[in-house]
Amino acid sequence: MSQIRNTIELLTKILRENGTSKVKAETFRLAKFNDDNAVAVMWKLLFELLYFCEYGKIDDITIKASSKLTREELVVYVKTELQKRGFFSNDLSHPSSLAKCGSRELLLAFAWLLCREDIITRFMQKCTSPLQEQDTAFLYAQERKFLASEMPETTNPVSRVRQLLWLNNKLQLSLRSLYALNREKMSLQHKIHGATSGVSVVPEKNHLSMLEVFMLRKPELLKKNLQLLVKDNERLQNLLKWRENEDVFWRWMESVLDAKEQQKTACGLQEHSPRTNIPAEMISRLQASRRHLQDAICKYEAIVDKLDEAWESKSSEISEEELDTLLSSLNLELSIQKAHISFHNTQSYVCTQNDCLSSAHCPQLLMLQQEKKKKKMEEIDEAQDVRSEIQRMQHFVKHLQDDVYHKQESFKTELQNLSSHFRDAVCVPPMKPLLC
Amino acid sequence: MSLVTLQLGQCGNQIGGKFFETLMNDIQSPANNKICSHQQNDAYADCSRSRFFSERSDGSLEARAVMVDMEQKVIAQTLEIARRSGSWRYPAKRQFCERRGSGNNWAHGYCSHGQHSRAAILDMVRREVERCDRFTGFLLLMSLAGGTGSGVGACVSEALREEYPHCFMLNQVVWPYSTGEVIVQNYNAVLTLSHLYQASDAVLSIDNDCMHRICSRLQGIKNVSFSDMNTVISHQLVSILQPCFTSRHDELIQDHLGGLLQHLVSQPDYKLLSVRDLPHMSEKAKQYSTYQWSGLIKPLRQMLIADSLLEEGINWQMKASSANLNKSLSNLVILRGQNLDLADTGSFREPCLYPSWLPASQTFREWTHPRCLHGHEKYACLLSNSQSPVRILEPITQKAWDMFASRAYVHHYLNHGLNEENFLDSFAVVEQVLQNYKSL
Repeated sequence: MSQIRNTIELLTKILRENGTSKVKAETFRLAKFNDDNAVAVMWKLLFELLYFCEYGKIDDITIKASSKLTREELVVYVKTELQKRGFFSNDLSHPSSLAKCGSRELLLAFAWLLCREDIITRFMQKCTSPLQEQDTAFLYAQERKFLASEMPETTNPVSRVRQLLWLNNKLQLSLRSLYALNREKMSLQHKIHGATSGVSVVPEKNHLSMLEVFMLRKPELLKKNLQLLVKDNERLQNLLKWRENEDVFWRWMESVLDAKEQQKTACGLQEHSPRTNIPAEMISRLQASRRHLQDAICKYEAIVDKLDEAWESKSSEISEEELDTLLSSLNLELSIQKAHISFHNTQSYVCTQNDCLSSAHCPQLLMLQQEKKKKKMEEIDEAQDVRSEIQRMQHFVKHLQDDVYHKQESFKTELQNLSSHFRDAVCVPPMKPLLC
Repeated sequence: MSLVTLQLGQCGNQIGGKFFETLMNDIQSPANNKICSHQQNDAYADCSRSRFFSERSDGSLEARAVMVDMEQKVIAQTLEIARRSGSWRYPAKRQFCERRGSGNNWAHGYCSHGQHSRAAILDMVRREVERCDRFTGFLLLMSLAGGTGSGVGACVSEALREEYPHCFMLNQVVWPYSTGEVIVQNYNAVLTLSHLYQASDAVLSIDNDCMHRICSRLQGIKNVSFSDMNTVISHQLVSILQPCFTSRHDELIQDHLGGLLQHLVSQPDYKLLSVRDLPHMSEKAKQYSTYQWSGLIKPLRQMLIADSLLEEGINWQMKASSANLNKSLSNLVILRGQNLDLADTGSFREPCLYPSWLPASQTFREWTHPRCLHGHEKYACLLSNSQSPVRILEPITQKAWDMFASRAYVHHYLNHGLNEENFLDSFAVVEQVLQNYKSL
């Protein structure tokens, strides 16, 4: 029992080190027994962790937001975010239980989030040694002076264009300045690296970093950096310890889940499907489809297994050349089958859609299906048009060929008649007829 | 961050020589440790040295400059003056000369000399740029009236933009005397400006008439020479380009030219800059003069709104609410000297000085440095993107158009490969610039 207490205390310490508000291990114990005293703390913790998942850090804005939001707003935010991430729980999703949700449910949500978003790993990734910072810019960080809100409001389009031009050019000049400063930084950094060549703290490098040189010149900062390193080390130690003992926590979470189940059976409550925004009729259809899919999977699973086995055995027997020829013939067969299926599907789809469409309950869906159907129908119409067009063109070509033949004949006879009028002339017909 | 200076034509080379001389005098001048700490002074000198000079292995300083002129005379004189100073010199093999000048013909400079010498000049520039650890941009010094400075200058500016698309480019141009030195100066000015407007990031215009009045009226010089005027111009350039702080107790601005251009020429249709500085007085009067910051800032602001480049004869009746106010797109005040905490530049932030569509926080900047400049205990310089250049540009364009309407001297340009279409295009660009500034 003391082991689980230590593990939860370690977890609260890790959470605290990464910016969340203070949570006691006792709160977790109370939450297991669905105690109301743990509810407020758990809601806040969930809010902070969700913020972390979204923005990668827990800062002043998080604390300000959690204090400014009303209880209801905070609860709605947490519920929506959890649902968005895939946590569907009856107690959490129902609007009538606004803020009245038990702390056990919140504890389960917390554990789900911890596991699903891999929050501890993300905490680990955040840990970087302050000594690895190559830049000393943070020592001179200044607050940005100009705010966009300072721009005077103007309705005159000419003034607005001038304002935008002004901003644009200011940005361009700032970029040039930044470029010059960056070049200067590189040049100075190179000088530092050159001057400290041969002296190194880290084995991978042959010189001192800017921060190291800076600290050599200002030894009073060493103490501050040492403190930072100690703190960082402590955080890493805690995280390592958590990795060793986290199974204790998850086993304890199983007991929380069991406690929930026990309470349910004791109260005779039935499992309800979680509340969503989808209409009830759709849910029943979705469930039917799901069952259908499950059946299909069960049905084809054995065949897939057999195929796998056959593949394994065949792959050991067949040589590479044989495999290539087989693959190409298989591909050919597949493409033929695909074309065949798509052609049949187009027709059968139209028929089935006509039969099956009964979408009085969800007008949006109906509209989409109608559009789809219309599109398919158009495609088929186009196909028929092309076939008739080809036939028409073939007729036309034949007609033209006949016409040319007749004309050729008539002109030949006319030419012969004409040639009979000239005594010394010889009429030579073309070597080949122009069109045959 | 380093700047490479290109001295183009007679005017550009003479101004360049004075500019580097003034820079070196400023770097070497002893700092008053009561107002400027040792550390600040050293940082200032180091920053200035690395910006404009490169240090040779023997410790001597060489200006980061390329000299271009079609005649050898002026380049030889400038080299000699620099050599005689003993503290700096021009780099060897960065001088480009031809045998014949451009004869005040823009087309000769742009189409003939420019195209022939382009590759050689770019090669020199490349060598100079490669010597910079921290290259940020170009400063081009040239005049608008002549043939080499304007014609070759425009051609080189375009070539540099093509070759170095990411760098900053500031062209300092000198407007000719309105009375006229050269008969075709108006043609040259219009043609140059139209080409520079497309290639350069900003065009800093300096008026010969104004410089002459500063020398004669404010500095009490009886026979004003080009050298005197060039000294005033180089003082203004040095005050703009020497290191400063963005606010009163900050680090030195590293990307000086970038920051300056980012603030002043953010709108691509408005690239003309003008400069006003205070105080101006003879060398003898300097040691007996003392100023309050308000005594410099107030007239400077009035000079801006009344569109006067001189402290003398400002129209004090002009108010910020007046209809014919000289509107600005952006202003930058650079204050150098002691008691900077007492300087109040709030009057430059008044929204009525600027167009309504600009955010109020982006119209004005103040840069400072506690080091004294040019022997003045307090010195204020105002760099503005305002309607001021319209006053000079409009009559020049009008005169050029009148001449072009009667095709006067146009054949001189056509002989060198320019055609009338090019003239018309240039007029269109300049007219558009004028129209933009008038509609501010």
